[in-house]
Amino acid sequence: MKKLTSLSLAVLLGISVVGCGSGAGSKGAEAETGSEPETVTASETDAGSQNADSEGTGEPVELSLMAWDGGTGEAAEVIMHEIIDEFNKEYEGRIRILPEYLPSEETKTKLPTLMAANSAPDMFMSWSAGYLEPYVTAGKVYSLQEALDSDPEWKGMFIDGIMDQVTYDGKICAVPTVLSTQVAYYNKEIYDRFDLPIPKTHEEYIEGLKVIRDSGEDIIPMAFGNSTAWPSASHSEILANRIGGNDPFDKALDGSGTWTDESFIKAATLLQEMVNEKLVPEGYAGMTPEEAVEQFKSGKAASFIWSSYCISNFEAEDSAIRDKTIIAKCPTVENGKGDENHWLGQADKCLVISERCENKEAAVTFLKYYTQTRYMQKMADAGTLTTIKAENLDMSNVGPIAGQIMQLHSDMTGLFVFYDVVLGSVVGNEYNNTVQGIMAGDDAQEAFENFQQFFEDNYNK
Amino acid sequence: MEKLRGNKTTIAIFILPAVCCYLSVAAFPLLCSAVLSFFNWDVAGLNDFVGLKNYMQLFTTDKIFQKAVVHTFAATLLCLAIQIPCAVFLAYLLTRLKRGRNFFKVAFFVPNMISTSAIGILWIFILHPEFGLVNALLRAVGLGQFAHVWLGESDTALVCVILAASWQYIGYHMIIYLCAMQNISSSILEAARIDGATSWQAFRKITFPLIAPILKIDTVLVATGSLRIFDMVFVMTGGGPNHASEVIASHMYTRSFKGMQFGYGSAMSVILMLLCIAVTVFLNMAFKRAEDKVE
Repeated sequence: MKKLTSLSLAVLLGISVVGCGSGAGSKGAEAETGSEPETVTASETDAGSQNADSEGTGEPVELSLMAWDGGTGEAAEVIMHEIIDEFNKEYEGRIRILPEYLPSEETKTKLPTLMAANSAPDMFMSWSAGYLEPYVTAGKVYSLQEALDSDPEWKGMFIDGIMDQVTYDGKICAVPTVLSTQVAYYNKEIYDRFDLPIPKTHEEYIEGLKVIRDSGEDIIPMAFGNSTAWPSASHSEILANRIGGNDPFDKALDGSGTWTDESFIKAATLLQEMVNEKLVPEGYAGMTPEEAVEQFKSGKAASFIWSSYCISNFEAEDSAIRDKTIIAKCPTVENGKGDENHWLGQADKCLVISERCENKEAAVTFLKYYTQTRYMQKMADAGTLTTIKAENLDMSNVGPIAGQIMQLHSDMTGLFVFYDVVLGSVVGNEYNNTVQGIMAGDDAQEAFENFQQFFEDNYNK
Repeated sequence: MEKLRGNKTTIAIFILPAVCCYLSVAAFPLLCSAVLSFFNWDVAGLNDFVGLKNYMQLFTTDKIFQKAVVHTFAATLLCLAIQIPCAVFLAYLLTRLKRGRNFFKVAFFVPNMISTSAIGILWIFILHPEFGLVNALLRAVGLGQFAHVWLGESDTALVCVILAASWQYIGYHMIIYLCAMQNISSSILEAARIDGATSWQAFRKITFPLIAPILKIDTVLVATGSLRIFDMVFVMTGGGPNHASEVIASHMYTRSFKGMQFGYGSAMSVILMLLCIAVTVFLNMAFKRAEDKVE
């Protein structure tokens, strides 16, 4: 009797261990492990997977989705929950989405690990350009070109050119749902009080900030928090583009130019000057980007050059600047080659289907459901910029700040992507660190020479 | 019982589960890691055998790794210099304490029971440039010019992280020394006192030599623990600003999981392991020499 008990306990332990191991896997894996012990549940699971393909009968098709949710109540995330819930209700018995919600930063670790172990989820959210590229090159991503081509109406909904960022070798590999661009926010109340114009150029901008600094009032000229390095980098990317246009970056990337180009060095030097002139908060190096958002949101800062994603924060009930914010295109640099209608930004929250997904048709159905006008309108109303053409949206309910930016976007002649997204994680991170170092006092020329070396050693490897 | 002990097969059978467990969760992954370090492994899976290329790259072109090695050793020395003297001193004070010893024992040990991420965040707030405790104190006593952006400046970031980590672990090491000191027979110390030894003499000539074996073990614990330091760095600075607090483990994490260069990361983990072994061996040798000298 004792032997029997211990034996059955051992079997139980064995099964539970196997069960845990396949937790992240797909339906197929579950069916496999389930078929080992001959129990009632096992045969049920088996039957389920056999019937999965034929709609309506038996178990629904299950699709795993790794979705971003930082828990901050950002509008796009709240609406995403709604979309998934309503989809599961509407397609009950046919398709079921099994979402796994994670903060986007965490997926940066989890996704590559699952990919390398060949157990990626059926669908996942991703950034565009260089972030997704290694997965596409490795053959882990299902091309959506066919699905989009066969449904011209769906394909035509999206902003022109937005798909360029998720196109690899002529094939569209993801559907971006959110667009984020870097814009200049100004606190109208403060600018009016000091009788300052909304600046067109960086030089005007700096002059205005100096006036505010010298007033002796407790106002932060420019909200800024750089403990994570990328805020300084994104600002330098705008300045570099305003100084030298698109050329220097394109050339540095293909090897015909270098990172010691004047535009990169001057851009970082301009930022260094802003620190030396005390136009950013004194402890900026130890503050997070979230703190910077709070500085502007609370009305303590006069200006902020930052992503459009926080418009929904600024339009929220608890915002002190809801009706006092003016949005403008990022300032140009005097005698620079860049155009103010070139925006730094990216297609964000891109939905991707894995190559190993067994029911790609069902996954495409979900993608179409997610991007339908009804939900995109909801996001726009909440202050999120979507990837849908403005003409498809009803602008009457869009908030005061988001309305301004949609107007400004209509003049957009080009969109260039964050360097760290294009360069990929390792080299991109090093660019961010380089600019962070220069802001903290490193010599710009020397720092970019080192970065050029790093780029040569590590890019495309 | 005697019979049982004599039977080698019985012993082997009883040890087997533990050995299997150990091999599968410790030795086997180590071996895998070592094998992986000779490959180029990215999202596409195992690619190709590259021989020593990963190692070559670490020691020739990867400046960040070289920086990280220096930082790791600096962190280890700093940890040894802070944690061991503080722990010995606190333990000694506690043995002299007549009342409330248990209270202080628990109080000093508490940081060790809190998760590292919580402690990291706590220290981020203490060191915050604007409303942090440290800067506020400095300003309050008129030393405002010494206020720093502690975690944002390259000169102070690593030291601050190490201080936070030391604060967490001092209590743990203190407990170890306290046990060692309590094991010293009170009659020896009493005899010394009767012979007219001062407290310092008693500590130097009796307590210290008697806790020396524990000191040896604890030094190895602190050294290997700080060589592998990762969590506190990750939570507090992420290796920044501009790699000023980058250590081997954090660089390994960035390259493996953010850069998806698993083979390259494995090479770093192998080096880290070799470093740990080398330091342990070195410390043991150094202690042995010191012991021989004493004898």
